[in-house]
Amino acid sequence: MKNLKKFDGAANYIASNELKSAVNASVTLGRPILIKGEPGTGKTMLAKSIADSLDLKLIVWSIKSTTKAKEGLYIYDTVQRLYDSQFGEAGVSDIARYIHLGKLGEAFTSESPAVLLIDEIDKADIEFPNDLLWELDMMSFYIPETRETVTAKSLPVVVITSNAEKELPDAFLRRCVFHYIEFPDREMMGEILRVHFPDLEEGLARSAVKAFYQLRDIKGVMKKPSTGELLDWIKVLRKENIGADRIERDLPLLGVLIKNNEDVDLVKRRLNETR
Amino acid sequence: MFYGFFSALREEGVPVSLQEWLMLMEALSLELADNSLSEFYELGRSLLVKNEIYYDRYDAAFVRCFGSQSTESEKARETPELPKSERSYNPDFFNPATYENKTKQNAVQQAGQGLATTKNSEDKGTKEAAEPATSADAGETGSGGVSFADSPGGMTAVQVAGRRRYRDYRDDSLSNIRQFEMALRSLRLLSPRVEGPRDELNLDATIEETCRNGGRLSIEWDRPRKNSIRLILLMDSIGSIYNHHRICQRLFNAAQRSTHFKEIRYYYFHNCIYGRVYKDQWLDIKESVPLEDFFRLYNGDCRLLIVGDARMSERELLEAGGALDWSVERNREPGYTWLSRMAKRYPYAIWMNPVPEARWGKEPSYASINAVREIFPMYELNPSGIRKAVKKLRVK
Repeated sequence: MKNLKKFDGAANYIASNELKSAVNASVTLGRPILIKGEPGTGKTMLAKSIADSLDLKLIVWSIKSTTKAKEGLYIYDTVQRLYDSQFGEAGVSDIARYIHLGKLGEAFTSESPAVLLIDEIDKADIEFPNDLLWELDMMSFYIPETRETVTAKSLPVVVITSNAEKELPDAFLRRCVFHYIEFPDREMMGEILRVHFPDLEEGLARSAVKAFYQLRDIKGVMKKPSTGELLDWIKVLRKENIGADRIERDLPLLGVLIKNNEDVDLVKRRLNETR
Repeated sequence: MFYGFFSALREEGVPVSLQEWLMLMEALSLELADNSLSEFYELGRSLLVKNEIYYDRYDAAFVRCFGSQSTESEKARETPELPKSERSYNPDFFNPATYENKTKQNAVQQAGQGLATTKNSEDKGTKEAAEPATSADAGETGSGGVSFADSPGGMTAVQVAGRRRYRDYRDDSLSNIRQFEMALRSLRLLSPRVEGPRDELNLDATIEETCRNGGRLSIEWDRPRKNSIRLILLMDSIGSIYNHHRICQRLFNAAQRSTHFKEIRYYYFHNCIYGRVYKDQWLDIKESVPLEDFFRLYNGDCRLLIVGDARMSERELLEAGGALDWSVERNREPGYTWLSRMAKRYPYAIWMNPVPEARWGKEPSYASINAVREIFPMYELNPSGIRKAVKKLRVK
């Protein structure tokens, strides 16, 4: 192995073997890893966990619908420069003073290798991923204003997450390592709970997980509850001191898991039917 | 062996490119697969497959290529034959002597339960042919072959692949409603920003350019982000289409939910289109629009999406007066003429058919599909078909 360190999950993050293998392939090959999966399967948390496990700095670039690819590289603060020039500020002729590196630029110039998370890339414009192809391929970019090329000092680990709201271009996909995080099965969910609540009673955990998967299995539920919601639910259940026997019977505090009126009605109807 | 895997993937319909394949070769030469088949399975999947809808096909190709490997212990000892082209790329990337043999016993035991047990007999045949070539090698190294190290669940990679647990993610199966909705979202592709006048002030760009210009005003204009596309959904509503009403309903719901079109209209017809289309799905004549008016109302830039099973009798399609509902209309011209007229008026028109593509024109009752296909580009009504259709709707 080129890398001495190997990603092996972190103390508070449970990763499947397939995911570990994909991450290690991405780190070793120096290719970005693209993570897809249902909401609440821990896509964003993965980057943090890689950073923790490999002991690297984490840089987060959250993408919004208005984000432009260039903003990740650098921003030329033209307004500030105009302002300064009118007041005769010294150093206006030095453009470099008005060039600020973006998140990608920050990751490239970081002294120690960093983990760069490009979060929810599918939120941006359809052309966005294509605009980053060259930079991610070559791990360098050129700033025309200062005639300067920024090259990565050490290859960052690039983690990209997507919710599949838009199709990503093929050319972009070809350059990535891809992994689809499946929704965890019961066994794995048990492990996840143990990581988050080390002192959780076995009985409560079992009935909460059972109730949770029963909810997810009800046909016609528009928004299925996710892992994050289960964790919240257990937190509240413990706070309210609700016993394991009541959980399966009445699904107390259902609002934490299901947040849509029609879904709540549907679940209640099913619950009454089974009684 | 590996080259066979590449072509099996392509045959199964996984869009693997050479670039990705070379990436896998590079990863193997860096020993990322840790010399075990299950790690190879995982590594290959993350490098070659870029969308979960292809996971199932990947599994299928994997079982096809490596399935027989775990059924016969002798097979495991066999030196994998490499095509010359791959050897020349990197002679060392798959040297059997470096592979361990620690869990071969396991593989033998599990072979009995393996999924491809039926293949045993044919493997025996090939084994004999392969034996003489490999025996010398095997004697010296005492090992060779791929090791079948267990994945944590106690399953071999082939067994994992054989479970085909990603079947539901395939986009040509209709089992998963979520998948269907996701595919319909690609209707968003219909929103291009290349049309229309630049008549919206771009404030940021104006400031930017003015600053660049040394303070002299420079105004920048943008095309507004509005979608200028008008979509007409024309649905077959009574008769044989009823067998498919659930899937048609889903398309209808998804279209209704989409708010990104400039205009979206719904019309109905029965089996074939003649002189008029209907505004309500029970085909009330009082709520109908003659096609002449329809053509005037909607210009040729409208996108026309017709949904129907195109299952018509010869009379219905080719003869004047062949329409099924005599009470409603006696067509003076055959349906074929009307359909052609429609296609001519709307160059951006496609036909979505809920009948599986494999059966089009193959069975007597679906013979008419071929005739309709000559008039309109036709796609199967499933997520992947819709994606293709949306692409087609963007260009003439």
